[in-house]
Amino acid sequence: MVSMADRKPKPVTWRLARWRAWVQAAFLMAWLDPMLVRMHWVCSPVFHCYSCPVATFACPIGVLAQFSALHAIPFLAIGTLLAVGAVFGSFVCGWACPFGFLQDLAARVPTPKLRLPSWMGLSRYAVLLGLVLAIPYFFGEKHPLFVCRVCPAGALEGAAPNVAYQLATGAPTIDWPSTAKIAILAAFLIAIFFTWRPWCTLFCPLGAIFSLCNRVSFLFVRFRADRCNDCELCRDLCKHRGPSERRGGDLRCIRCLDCVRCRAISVGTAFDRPDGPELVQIDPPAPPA
Amino acid sequence: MAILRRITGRAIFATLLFAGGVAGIVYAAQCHTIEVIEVQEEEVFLPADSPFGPGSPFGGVPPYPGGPPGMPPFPEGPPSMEGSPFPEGAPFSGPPSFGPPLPFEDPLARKIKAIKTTEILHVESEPKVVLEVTVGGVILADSGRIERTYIGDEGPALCPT
Repeated sequence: MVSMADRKPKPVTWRLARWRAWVQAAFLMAWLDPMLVRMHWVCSPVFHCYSCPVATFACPIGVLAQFSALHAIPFLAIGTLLAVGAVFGSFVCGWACPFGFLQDLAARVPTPKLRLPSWMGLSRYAVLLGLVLAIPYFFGEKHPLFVCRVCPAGALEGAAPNVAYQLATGAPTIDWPSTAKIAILAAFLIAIFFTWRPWCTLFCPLGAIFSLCNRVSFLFVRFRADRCNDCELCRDLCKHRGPSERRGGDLRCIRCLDCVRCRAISVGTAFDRPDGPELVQIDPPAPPA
Repeated sequence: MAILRRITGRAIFATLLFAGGVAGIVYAAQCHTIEVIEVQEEEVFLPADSPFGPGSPFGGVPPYPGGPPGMPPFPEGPPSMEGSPFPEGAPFSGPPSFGPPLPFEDPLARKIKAIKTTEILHVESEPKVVLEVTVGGVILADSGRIERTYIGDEGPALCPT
């Protein structure tokens, strides 16, 4: 069904959304240590394992878990997540995270996609509270459910390249990852072809933190009820099929901006007036009939 | 009035959150320090006759002060010669034409090997500790203190997880 929204001038955010994959690729270059300067004393705001041979920054979730195991407060990681989350919220997930980019690329393979119910997004908070904070604090980093020991990003970006390197160089001892880690990685690699962003939707503790920031962040996705004509275009465009009136604060929203083709959805800033014009709208208004 | 409306509501929460985050980063980089213990173990040879003397690394505590458990305490000083048929000191005195035997210094027989542990306290900045945790360079010891997993300057290359 062709909506009236398709015939209206497109906001700049919609044009920008078409370049999302290129923006993700540009960020990926930044995370992959292009200058060969390992700055692991700085936390990045994305999910990228610091055991990766070409990781530029430290993974904030790994630092949170390790500091929890040390019974210390990681002000650096918390401050980074708060500052970035306050400005962008889960824009980071949709536009900058390399692990999300990998899942987006796999989702382009034309396979049947399973849609997960919205309540499953709450499991991310269980991962955050249990595997990242509680288990490291009470049982230490040697516990088999310590988040880094089951993380598929760590298996894919850290363990796999390092094992390959050790095998190639004929190292005397090979640091094989645990069976659980390999099994989780295999399940993840299968799942990314049959559902959209399974890790981000179900398990990502970093996405859970940024989702909480969505409700207060400077940049946010705004739903204008006065522009909605119940055409359901925004719902059709959303990978999660999130309800339009809740999209601005939907916990699973990664702000991919696919939905901004609908005129009722736009990107706003915290300094916009609720009834004011969109700051990001640059197209001239349609001439009067 | 319009400016006031803009800085209320969502903007004030975002501003507070952002300011808190920046303050956390600045505090972590400039002020927050964490005590890290570096435990160095060293093999030492101790005098066998006084392994628990006041100057030894084990301190001045004998293994069984007051005697072993279930046994009477050790007598203080040399055993009494009272009631002995020999005059005091007779069986132990040397021949009149010779002096007392010279002390026999056998370095192997008179020394025991022990592990001497030395704890060095490092006060590290938080970014340094973040760098350490990314390679498994620090752990929480049983004593509740943060301890380095290596000795010297060269740490582990990979995270153990």
